[in-house]
Amino acid sequence: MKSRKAVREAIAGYLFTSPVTLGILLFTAWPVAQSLYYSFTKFNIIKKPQWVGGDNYAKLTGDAEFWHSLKITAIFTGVSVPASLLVGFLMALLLNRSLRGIGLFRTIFYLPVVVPVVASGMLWKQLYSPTYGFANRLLEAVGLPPYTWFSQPESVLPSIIIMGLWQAGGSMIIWLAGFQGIPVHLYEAAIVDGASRMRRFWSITIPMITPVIFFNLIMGFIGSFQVFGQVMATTAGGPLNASNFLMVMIYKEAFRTLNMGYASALAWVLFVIVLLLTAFIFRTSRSWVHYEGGAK
Amino acid sequence: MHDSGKSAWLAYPLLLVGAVVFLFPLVWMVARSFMGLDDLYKVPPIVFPTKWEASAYDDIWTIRPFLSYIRNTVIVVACSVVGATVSSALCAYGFARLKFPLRGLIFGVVLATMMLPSAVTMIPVYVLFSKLHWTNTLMPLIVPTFFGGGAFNIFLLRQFFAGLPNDLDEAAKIDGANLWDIFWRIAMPLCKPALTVVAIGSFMNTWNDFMGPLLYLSKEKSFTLALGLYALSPGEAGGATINSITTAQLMAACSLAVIPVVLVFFFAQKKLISGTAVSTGIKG
Repeated sequence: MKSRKAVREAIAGYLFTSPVTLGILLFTAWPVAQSLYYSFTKFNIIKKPQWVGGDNYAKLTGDAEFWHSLKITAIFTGVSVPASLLVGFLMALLLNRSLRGIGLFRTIFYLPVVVPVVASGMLWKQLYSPTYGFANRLLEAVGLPPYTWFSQPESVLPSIIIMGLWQAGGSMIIWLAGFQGIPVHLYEAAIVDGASRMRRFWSITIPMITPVIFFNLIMGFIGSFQVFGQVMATTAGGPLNASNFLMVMIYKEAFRTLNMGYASALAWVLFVIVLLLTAFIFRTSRSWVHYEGGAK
Repeated sequence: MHDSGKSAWLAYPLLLVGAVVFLFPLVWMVARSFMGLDDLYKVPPIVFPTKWEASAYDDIWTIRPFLSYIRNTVIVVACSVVGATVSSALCAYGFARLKFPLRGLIFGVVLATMMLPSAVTMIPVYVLFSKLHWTNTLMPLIVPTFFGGGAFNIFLLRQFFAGLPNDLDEAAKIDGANLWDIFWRIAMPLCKPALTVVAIGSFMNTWNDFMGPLLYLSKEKSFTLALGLYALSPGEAGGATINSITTAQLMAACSLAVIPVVLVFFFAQKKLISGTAVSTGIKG
């Protein structure tokens, strides 16, 4: 029998946390179930959903547009996540020192991350403009031929990835926090033992930072599989669907052509892929993520 | 970690190059908003206008109802900041300081929602709000923030509340304070730095939010600034056919949308960066 005090505390606990439990029921759990149901229906929001069994999923396997979308989303994720991790890492290495004015540099390097996606999209369209933009001027300055950027299907993916690197400050900040979380005494001990700068980097910094790499990887994969805003604000999926990433395709299916059943099926495929990827990274993490002080 | 003098001086040139790379697009955006037509279409392009003209900043108000966009954005931002901060603090306090059955499991579910792609919930939530006749109102953007204010915020604040010493509530209880008093008068003021991080974070997220307005708002009088900007973009579907807008006006509108977040970020960056440090430090 629990004491009255414990019961009262439990009631208070449920009350305090009720916003998020209600929120999850209303805006997550119920919608997830609804969405699964919609994925087996023909639904255009005006009429009631009509059960069609596995038709949407069957259609999906033969939909060249879906496979194309999946392919470019995978390529985008595969390139942009490691690339922005690497750029963020190099930025953090550069900024992880106690120099005069370093705070200002950190602020500047991070600044692009806070720019609203619509504004940065418009800005990059200007920068990439073949005649009036600076991107091609830069290439010209180093002796390279002009590039087509957003205007041709084959150059649109690299262009979106480069635009994303401008905002690598997001991963930089997590790297920085990771660097600063490494106890100084580890380095001091290594210096006493005569370890070189490189040796300290590979034997202390890298292992100690693996939880940060892990976190960055997971969040990066989840985020970039759902790339949306920066695409809508620049190419809107074009030219010729060359940047019609999964999330963009789902949005258009659901809200432009009102194929909400089919869009739900696409969303579930996206969900399963993200889930599998996350599970995969979690699994492998045991062999390469180092948690100081034992298991997580 | 202190650096030896030599590597420090090697770092400055790299830092400067980086600063130029990251700042240049923003500087050019502002500079272009002050250009006349001649300067805008110079080949090769120029960075700063030969003649500074501020007329774009006069004109945009009449081209589109920017004042109304800004008013809507301010309403959404103000409500969301309050909603997210208060509700995430309540939940975080519950998870950190109160014992109840299934606490660990519920908290785990909260964290797991961070990994759920929004594509999955997007359509049913849209259906829900349209049944409530909330489309083309600001409600779909405001109301959800009162339901927990985001898993990350709960996680962050929970770490702070959990770090408060237990004697605090004991002492307060002896003085006759009830749970609510302890939360509101003792724990909340002590967690001000973390609450500021949450408030600023939700300010920036809401100010910049594009997908929410894109889904729920299709009438111009309900547009937020982000969506209004998007509709200005030449040839964008969803936008009216606006051919009369000049690049200078476009860049002026962008500058207006960027300046508030940049200012807030400049004033708050120390707190934000230490907030991230706290939350990631926990995982290690």
